[in-house]
Amino acid sequence: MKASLIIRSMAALTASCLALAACGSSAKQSGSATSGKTVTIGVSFDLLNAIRQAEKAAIEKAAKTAGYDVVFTVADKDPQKQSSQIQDLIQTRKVSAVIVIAQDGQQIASSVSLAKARNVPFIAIDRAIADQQDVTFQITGDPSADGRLSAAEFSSAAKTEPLKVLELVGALTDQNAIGRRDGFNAALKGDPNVTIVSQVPTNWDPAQALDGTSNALQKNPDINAIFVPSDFLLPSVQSALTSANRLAPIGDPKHVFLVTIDGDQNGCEAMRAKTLDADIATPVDEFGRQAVSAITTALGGKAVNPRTVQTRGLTLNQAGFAATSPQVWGCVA
Amino acid sequence: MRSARQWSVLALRRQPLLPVWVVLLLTLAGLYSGFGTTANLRNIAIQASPLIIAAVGATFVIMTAGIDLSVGSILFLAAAIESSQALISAPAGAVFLAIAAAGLLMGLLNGVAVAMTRVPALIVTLASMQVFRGAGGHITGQQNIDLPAHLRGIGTGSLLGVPAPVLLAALTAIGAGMLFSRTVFGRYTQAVGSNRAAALNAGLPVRSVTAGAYAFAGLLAAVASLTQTARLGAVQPSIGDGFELTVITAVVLGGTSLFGGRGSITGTVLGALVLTTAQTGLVFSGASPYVFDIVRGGVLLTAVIAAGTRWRNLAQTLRLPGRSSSGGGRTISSA
Amino acid sequence: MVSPVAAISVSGLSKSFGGVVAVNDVSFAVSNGEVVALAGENGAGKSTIKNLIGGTLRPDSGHVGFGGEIAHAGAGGARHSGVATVHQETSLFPDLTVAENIFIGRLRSSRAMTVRPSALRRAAAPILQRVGAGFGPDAVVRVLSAGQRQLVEIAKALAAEPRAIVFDEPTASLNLAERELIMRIVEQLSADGVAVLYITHYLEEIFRLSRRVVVMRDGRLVADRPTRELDRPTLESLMVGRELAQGYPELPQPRPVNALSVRDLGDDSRVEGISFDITRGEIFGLAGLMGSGRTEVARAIFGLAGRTGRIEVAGRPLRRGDVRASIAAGIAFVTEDRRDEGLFLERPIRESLSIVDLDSVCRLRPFGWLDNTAERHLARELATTVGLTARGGLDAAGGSLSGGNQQKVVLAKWLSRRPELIILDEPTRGIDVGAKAEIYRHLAGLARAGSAILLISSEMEEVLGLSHRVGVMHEGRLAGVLDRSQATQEAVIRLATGGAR
Repeated sequence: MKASLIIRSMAALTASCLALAACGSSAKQSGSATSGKTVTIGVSFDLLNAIRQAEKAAIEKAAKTAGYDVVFTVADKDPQKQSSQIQDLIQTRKVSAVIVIAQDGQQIASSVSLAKARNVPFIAIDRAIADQQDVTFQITGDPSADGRLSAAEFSSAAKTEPLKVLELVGALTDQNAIGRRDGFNAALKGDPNVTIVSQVPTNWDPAQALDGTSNALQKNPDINAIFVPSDFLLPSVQSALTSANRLAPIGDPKHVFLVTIDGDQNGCEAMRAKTLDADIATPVDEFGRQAVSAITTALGGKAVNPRTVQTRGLTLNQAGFAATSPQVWGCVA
Repeated sequence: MRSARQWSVLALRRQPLLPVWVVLLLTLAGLYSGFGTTANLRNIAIQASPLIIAAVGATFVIMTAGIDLSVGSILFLAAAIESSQALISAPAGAVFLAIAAAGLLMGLLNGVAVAMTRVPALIVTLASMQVFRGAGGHITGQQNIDLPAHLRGIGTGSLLGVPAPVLLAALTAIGAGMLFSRTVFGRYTQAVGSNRAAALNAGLPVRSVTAGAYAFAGLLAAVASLTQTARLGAVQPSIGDGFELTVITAVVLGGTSLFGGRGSITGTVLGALVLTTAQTGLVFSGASPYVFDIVRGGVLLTAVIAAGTRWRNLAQTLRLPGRSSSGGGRTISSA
Repeated sequence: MVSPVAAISVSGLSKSFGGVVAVNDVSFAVSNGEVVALAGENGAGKSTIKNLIGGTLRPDSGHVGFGGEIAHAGAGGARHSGVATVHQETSLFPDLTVAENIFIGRLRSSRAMTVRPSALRRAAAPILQRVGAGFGPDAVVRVLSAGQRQLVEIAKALAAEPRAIVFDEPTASLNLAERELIMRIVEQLSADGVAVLYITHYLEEIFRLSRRVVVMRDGRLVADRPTRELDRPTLESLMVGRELAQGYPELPQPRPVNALSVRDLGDDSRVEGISFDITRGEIFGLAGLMGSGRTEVARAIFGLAGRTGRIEVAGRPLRRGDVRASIAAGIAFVTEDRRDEGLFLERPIRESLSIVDLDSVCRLRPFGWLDNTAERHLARELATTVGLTARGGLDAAGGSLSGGNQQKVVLAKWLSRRPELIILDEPTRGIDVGAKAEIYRHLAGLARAGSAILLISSEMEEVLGLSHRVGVMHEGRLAGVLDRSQATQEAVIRLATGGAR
């Protein structure tokens, strides 16, 4: 129909305007796609922070090895923006494949079907997508497993001294935060030596993490362990410990047993300074490597098998620090 | 002469939030051991400080019937500038001055845009909110940046036993309170918010006053940023995210009208204290994390309704002097 | 007193607000086909009576009856009983059409709970015709003039086919022609057998329309008499409670020094080519029909609107479009819209008084530190100058004052520095006789002290009684200037309607 054609082109125009207005779109030109020779990968991230920087670097490294180009965009936590950015990548820039970290696992569905319709491989990394019907390949961490791995560190430490644990919780709208919390709690259920005395929501906000930790330490001065579900809340927790006069290196009787997840520079530094007991590192290099190799497979016309991969984190603790740290992204960067 | 009873009921009528806060404190102290301790109250005061500082600034803006959505972003951009190569190793005094100036400038940008154009403040500051956050992200590269010890003192140090943030918040509140009620600028701010047309007719410098209110809010957002980042010990990409709503909540809770013209600094300070106390109380209660947001919204709604009725009925039963006096009336007239 | 067939009867009605008695044991009745005027100063309790009859307030004691029945509670009760109210400040929705406004309470015109515009239009047309409206049911209210809106308000009341109507100051903001139209409608309604309770300030309307007058003072009924038994001074003294000084104050002799000189003034839209002078101590009246550009002239002089032409104050040229410069040059401007442009309603009265001259009560000038004692002193002095009556003291909110006292505040705030020129736009609109007389006295006093006064008013009598000279506006131009000796009602109307001088 004529009308629907007009509407569709209007929508495309609007979408491309939005994408132009969006900040963070990398200016890297992809004239290569039109030449039809080099493969260009369109990347759409939900946001940019330390771990995303590492994931970006991992993708770029893997792409370079494979001889692919990368166009990079960031959606600033806005699902609408992300969907128009992906539309722009596929329709205007004509990328050969997309790698997406979805802001919203539900709302990304339209982008997935668009990629399917245009025969563009759609790779989801880090954050899971609700409907995986048309996703070419998905590789995510396993938040629940990371929670269990953290719990294992607590259990083994509690054998020498019973632990009273403060558990910080990330944003309650974030699947990763929920998964880490549930895995952690499930694994510790029934452990007589570990008691979770307080659960404090942080909404992934450093200020709330700081205040919540201070308050919990105030209420329960006998807290001797804290579970921090992401490295980027670690400075807040350390500040709270400092002002409560509880920040001390491992071995000091005042020391509070600390375990975090992610494995970024902060975490690694704290490991080296012996104030952090363990960090469950996300295998970001694996994300990049497997995502790019899946693209190679898919562009070769073959199905990627297995289609979904959940990689559990790598436990970096003081005992295994020397051996494991070279594989942790925060330690090598 | 007013009797003590009359005086206290009058105070209550002016600041209905004061008894709310006191009751909240007493209830929580009664429910949870450890809540009423000096250490915990000190904790609450420290935690409320950045909010108090920023909300006091926002009170000026809201008083002019404006709104500033960029508070959180100013806080972040100020922190980002603090963590930049140029400043991070400079002496503390110079850094603080530079950040204050930067905040003032950001606020002034908002203020000039609001005062000089016909664009609503909501739109102007919605735009600047994104601009400032983007600029902050550009400076930090979205990385965590640790602050050196000499820049943390303003958040963790203390003077004569009073924690530095609390001292700063108290000084800010007192200073701003005087600016608000005892100076021409403060009076003009209230007049502009109360009736802009009348202010223009009376020859008030309406544009400068408006711009000044936003500039002051920007300055205080930057000061809040200094204490906040010093407490956190690091500048992180997500700080100040959503802070504007907490700030506006505190101001409105404190009885300042979103339509301008009515409000007080004391009210705002109380609003910030009530919010922080409730937050601390939630941690003590061990409530499910999901309950937190419900309680926060509930506190706001209840307090605003209570403030809305302004204890009118109570005041009337007690036959208070004020809006509706009981006597035959006082006449001021020439012979 | 209360006749059993009365369309509206109130008996023993009392109502107080937070200890202040607004209405105290009031009884009267209005019969079918009768026009009863309800007179009294502002704050006498007229509005409370209206609201009690309309059902928006509930009496503390006593009751309101319609056609012999006790009224149901609430506004719906009054409507049910066939009583409608025409409000003073129109309560219309500016973005809806006339027809929608008329039927706003009963918009659902089909069984399917939807609105059928055509049905509304059909139903509205005859009502509009009845009130003599020169606009159709599809007109959007925003584009209508004040008088036309008042007609819509009346049409809205008539749509319910009431047996009784309460009019609350229906002509307060209308010009002469529109006022005449309203009065004809009232006469027609009365002839049709509708009972009318007519609340007004204008004594001439009372004498023309009403058969009986009910006078209220301080919440009590002080008189309920046939109109023909009363004359103007008697009625005034009943309202005010004392003998009023007769007529207008004696005018001082103007000094032969120009205070204001206006040459070829225009505002690029409504007015152009205005030239006149005012000397010190002179009161210059500006008359004209509503919309003839009187207010625009005042706003252009004061700098609230852009302008062309030249203005000199005390011989010095005035910067255009700069209110602050105008104030510095000694111009004061008393706005016609005191609530929206003159007063800080929710702030203490003191602040509205001191706002213009705040600099004079500030110490440590660079910091603008206010001296509270000095400010209170200033406010008290200004309040005393104009004889302000503030029941709650000067720290009560400005909105708690009666209209007349609000007007005094708006005037008083300019008086701390003796202004060279005072512009007053409708200074007595909607205020009562007593307060009016006081304002007149102040104007004469200010002129005597040497200020030039530019007085704009829709009340012809006021302009003629107070002015040394009268300028008459017609369609954006100054049609002529009349000396006191030439200024008669007929002469002014002739000029105002475009007739030759």
